[in-house]
Amino acid sequence: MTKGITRRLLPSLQEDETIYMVVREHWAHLFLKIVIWMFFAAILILFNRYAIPAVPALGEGTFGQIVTLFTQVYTLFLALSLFLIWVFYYLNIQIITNIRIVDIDQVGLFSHMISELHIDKIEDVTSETHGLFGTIFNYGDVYVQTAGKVERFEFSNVPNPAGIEKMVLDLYEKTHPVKEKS
Amino acid sequence: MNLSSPANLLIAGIYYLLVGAMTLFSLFGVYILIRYGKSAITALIVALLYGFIYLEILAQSYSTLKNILT
Repeated sequence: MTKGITRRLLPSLQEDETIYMVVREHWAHLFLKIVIWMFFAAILILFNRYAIPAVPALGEGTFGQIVTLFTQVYTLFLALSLFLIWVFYYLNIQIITNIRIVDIDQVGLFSHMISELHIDKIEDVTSETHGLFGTIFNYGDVYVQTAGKVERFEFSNVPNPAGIEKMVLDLYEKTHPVKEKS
Repeated sequence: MNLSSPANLLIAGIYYLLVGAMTLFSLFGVYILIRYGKSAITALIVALLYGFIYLEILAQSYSTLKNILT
């Protein structure tokens, strides 16, 4: 990711702040959602390919036009759902810098949430990999426990959760060198 | 459009309800994508592409509705 785009995503980036990682949902999890979407798209394709030729009444007269209208509205629904799957994928990001972790959450269309957590307030970091696809493609959840107001940060379905956990812990240890020695 | 018969009124009512809701969600989806996507080129391209496809299907469906209701 170029510095310009990163700065636009995180306008409060300080001069001495370095971005270590920008994390989005793993592509395999996005692909699973698209597979479910494809199931609904296949219903429409199969309906047009097999049901209409098999039952000619579905394509004739006023009833045929109502069926056409229904398939067009269903296509609008398919286009909208694919668009929203991508929008939520694109707008849900986590940014890890040397100073803080920023969690940008788009929860539904009408709720946008940005949470920040300073690295020195971290108490515990946990990573989890679960499920068949999670194990095969190495994605899962990372939980960051803090003493702050937002008690638990959650990164859902992110790639390489163990790597992210290690990176966060390494950054924490950099900010607490005295503790590390004792 | 002939909305005098109850069947036509029902079809038009359901159509406007569903398509109205989907258009509202689409507009808001494009708005949040451009606003929170910080005008990144990917966000703009997807928003434009989606807008074009959506409007194209919408125009077709509206044309079908008019044929049904005449």
